[in-house]
Amino acid sequence: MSLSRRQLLAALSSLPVVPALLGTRAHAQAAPMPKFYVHFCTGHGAVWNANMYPQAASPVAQSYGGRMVRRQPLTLSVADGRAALSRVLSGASGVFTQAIANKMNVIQGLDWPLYLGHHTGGHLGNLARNDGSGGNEGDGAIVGRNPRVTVDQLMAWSPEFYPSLDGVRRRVMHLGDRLSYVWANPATRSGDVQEFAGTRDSHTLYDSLFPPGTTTGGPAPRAPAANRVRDDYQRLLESERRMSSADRLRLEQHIQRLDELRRRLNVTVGANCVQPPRPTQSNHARYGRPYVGDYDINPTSQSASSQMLNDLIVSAFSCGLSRIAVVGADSTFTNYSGDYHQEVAHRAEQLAPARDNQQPTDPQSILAGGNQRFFETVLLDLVAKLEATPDGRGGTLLDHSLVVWSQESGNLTHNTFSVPIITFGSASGHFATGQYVDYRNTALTYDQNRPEREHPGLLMHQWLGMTLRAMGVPAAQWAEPNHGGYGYRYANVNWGNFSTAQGYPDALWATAGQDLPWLKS
Amino acid sequence: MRKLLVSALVISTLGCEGFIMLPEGAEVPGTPTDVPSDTPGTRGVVAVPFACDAQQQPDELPLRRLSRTEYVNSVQAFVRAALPQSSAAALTALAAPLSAVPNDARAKPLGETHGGYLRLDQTTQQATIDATYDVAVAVAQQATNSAARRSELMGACATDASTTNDAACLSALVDKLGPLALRRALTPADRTFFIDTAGTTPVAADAVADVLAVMLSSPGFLYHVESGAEQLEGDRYALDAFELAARLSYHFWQAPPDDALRASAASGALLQDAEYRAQVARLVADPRAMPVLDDFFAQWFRLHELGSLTSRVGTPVYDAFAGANAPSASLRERMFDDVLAAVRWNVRSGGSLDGLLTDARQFTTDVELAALYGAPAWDGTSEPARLPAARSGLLTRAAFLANDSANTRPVMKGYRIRNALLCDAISPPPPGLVVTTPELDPNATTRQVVANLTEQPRSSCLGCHVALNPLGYASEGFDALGRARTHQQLFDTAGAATVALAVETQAVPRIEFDDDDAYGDIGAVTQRIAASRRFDSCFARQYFRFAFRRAESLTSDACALRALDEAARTGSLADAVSAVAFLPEFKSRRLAP
Repeated sequence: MSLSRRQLLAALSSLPVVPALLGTRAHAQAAPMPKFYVHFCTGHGAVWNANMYPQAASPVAQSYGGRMVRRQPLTLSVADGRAALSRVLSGASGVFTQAIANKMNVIQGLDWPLYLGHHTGGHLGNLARNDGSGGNEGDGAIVGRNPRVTVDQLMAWSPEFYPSLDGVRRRVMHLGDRLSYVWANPATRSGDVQEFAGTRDSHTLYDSLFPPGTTTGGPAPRAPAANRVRDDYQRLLESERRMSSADRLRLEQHIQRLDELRRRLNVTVGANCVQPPRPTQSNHARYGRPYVGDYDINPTSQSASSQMLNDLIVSAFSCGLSRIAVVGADSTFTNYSGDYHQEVAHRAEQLAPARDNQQPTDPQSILAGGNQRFFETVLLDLVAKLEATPDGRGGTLLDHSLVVWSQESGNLTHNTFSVPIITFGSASGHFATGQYVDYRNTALTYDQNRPEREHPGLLMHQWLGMTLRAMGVPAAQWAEPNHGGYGYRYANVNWGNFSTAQGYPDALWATAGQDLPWLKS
Repeated sequence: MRKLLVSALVISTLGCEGFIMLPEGAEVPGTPTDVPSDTPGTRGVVAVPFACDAQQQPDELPLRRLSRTEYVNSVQAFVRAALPQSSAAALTALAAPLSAVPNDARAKPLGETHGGYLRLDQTTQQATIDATYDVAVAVAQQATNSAARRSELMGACATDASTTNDAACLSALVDKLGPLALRRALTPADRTFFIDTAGTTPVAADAVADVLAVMLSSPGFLYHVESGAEQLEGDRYALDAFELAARLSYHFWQAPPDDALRASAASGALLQDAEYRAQVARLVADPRAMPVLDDFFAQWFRLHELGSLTSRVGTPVYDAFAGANAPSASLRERMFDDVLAAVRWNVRSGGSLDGLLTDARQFTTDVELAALYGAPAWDGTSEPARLPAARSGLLTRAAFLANDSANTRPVMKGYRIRNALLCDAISPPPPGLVVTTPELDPNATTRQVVANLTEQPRSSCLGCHVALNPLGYASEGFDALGRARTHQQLFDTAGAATVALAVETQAVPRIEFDDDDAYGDIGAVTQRIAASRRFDSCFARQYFRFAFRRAESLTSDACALRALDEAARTGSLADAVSAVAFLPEFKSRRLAP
């Protein structure tokens, strides 16, 4: 048996969040409220500016980073039961309320200042995970040799973000593929940077949060065997068997993971945690695993599948089982049956119909529609559930969260000028919200011949650095050697109508450690 | 426009002596005269990959972990040994925890954008540790969750009333299953460790379960722990007999050694040359080797890159194109089977690698695919008949021709041949270029459309496409379902036929860089590839990756690559895949302190 979304929302609204997280209500009044981080990543990008962002309406402007930057409040247009900031940023007015918009930021003009092509790692700061575009010694290859741990993992292994791991079963819930990257030995922050495996199967996630056989209030069974397993690895490490130093390093990395396993096996779930029932079917079983059946051309199934994961994210946060989720969209949220990337995303900049025999005739409409559907049925769905969960102090879980949506590319696919960043929540008051900010330097244009214009913005590195500070991760744990933001410093746009020096001068890198204009409360 | 790339397409040429090395910027013989000199793809490093220097020390992967497939096979083998009567039921119960073990990622060498092998994924994930621990515990529970199971596992001593035999009962279990788990003889310390794990109640269910869970989580089970025996030179050590047995069985079967191989290792016979050769021959000939060869060839040929064949069924143009051959959901897999059946037949029948390339026999047992070939389905056992004359070998099998649209994709067909089958590195499209898939034009062939898009004189596209397109043009005698054709039927957007234009298959494929000759069709191109022996050399590189789970170095691994290349050129396909087992790198390991 599974809960309907309505039932779950009703259950969530009654959850005593703070007691579950912190023990008792009295304790809750004294202790600082933990923060939560959710990052949604979608592919392709290529949403036209006019479809993605609110219309400019007498913005306030100021000089920053050698250009004029702009800000205006977010004001919803409401008609016929629909509320909208733009074509993509729209939803049912009963859910997408002005109160929600007031907890939101729309950020335009944050760039990865190079040709990145396809990537999954860039969302959270690991530019190295790209498709090697730009030639064998081009941008993709160069940043490919300079991997970074992603920001979610920096949070996950920061004692400042997780001052206590009591009750934490998953430092990071990675619900995607190749989005999250971590050291081979995170406890010592050493070793190669490698992918952190994820899953989008709701049963796998559920079982990792609520292992079979465990009940609220007690530890999971079987810990003794795990302890003995660790002894076995230590025994080999200390034995006289001939091993290379690299072999020993691998064993040490394995032992670190066993320690993490043993820690989790001994986690005691808060007595006030309301463990949701395990649905009889996983999201994949119920809606068709991706790439099987009609899942990829059934946006209703795609949304419902993602919503099941959202339910578990909220449960995990409410019960203190995790505080970080990285979520990758596994489809396009459209019913387009062809080669979406080639035929829709690549052609999305073309004014339709581009050629007599070309299908589809309006790719931008399909693409914008898919992004709107993702915004409303996945992103807003989670935001609404977080907002419906009280924090025990008169606020909601959303108030202590930073929920981010980033796209793979900017307004033209493959290019990473002005990658949209949409956020909800203030991370316990760190961010000023309710704003549309635009950091693009409109005095410089990449390609005058394209109908959809691209301008250099501020650095995504600056945003990621601000994110880490907002979540309480000290700069000493992630500082870059040559700028104050986060992410490998590499800029190369000599192929456009402006140079690297013009678009991303040293002065811009010098301010990458600052908070972005207007975003700090 | 983006600056032109300094490091250009690596176009390699291989004669009998191997590649030649050209300095960057040097004039490359055979460069088309209408290509700008600084266009990507017209110059670059042309390496000599297989110049063996015995002084070079190959790299060594540290403590390789079992691939997911190897792990699952190992767990299943352990369960079958532990529960000889009820293993089927136990394995059914273990399906769920085993399915939670993360899949390996298809890892590829730095700089490659397509292809890759699951075995190259050597990351150790937290999720993997968690899942394999859950599996270990689940196996232990299955083996101990009833008196009947404990009796099956340990004998009557586990459930009788006596306690005096309990310690011996557990010792016997450890002696029986410990060597299977660790894939070597137990040391006294190993025995003591496992026995002590049970504590003071040696045959209690939870105690025995702990012992089994620890065995199945041990480093000897999850990793290929190799300490070596005799020191050869420097930090290189010969593998001992058990390590060698495990290398052989996991390479050829992706599974632990069987009884015969374990016995050979235990007696030391495996270290004798004749016995070793006999074991290698046995493993390669065993049916268990076939799924592994399927894995290798499917990944080398990038069969997985063929998308769904049904995504456009129901659209006017596609339905008009497919006609009576609208693909079923299973056709894609049957196309894979067709290729892999050709591999299997050639391995079993003594065929060669080049024979596989030029093998034009009918290997599909599927009626739907056979209809596309215009031939009866094969019965799967008798000598296969030759396909109709238009088919000339591997590159005319449907898996190398089909795609998910009504249109052929000459560029991607050419890319696969150039990059996967000839091992030439191809630069990705230049930045800022919005690549679009050529669409059917109602009045022009696909070749004409592609040429118009990518071969304009002095365009930046030309440098790479001149190396890709001709290889795809050569097979334009087949449509996007793999059906032979002489004309390309064109349609308007409503699916109405417009005109049928003759297809042009003559092309200048530049299999070798100094070859500007035109070839009439894909059959002639296939023969040219075979004559160049570049398919064999590419096999050597690809198989090296698969075998050693890492990217090859054209300098420090050149000796191994040359040996594999030589085996592919001169021996049977079975010889070629066996050759890896005789490489010094396979039989020894570097253990740098």
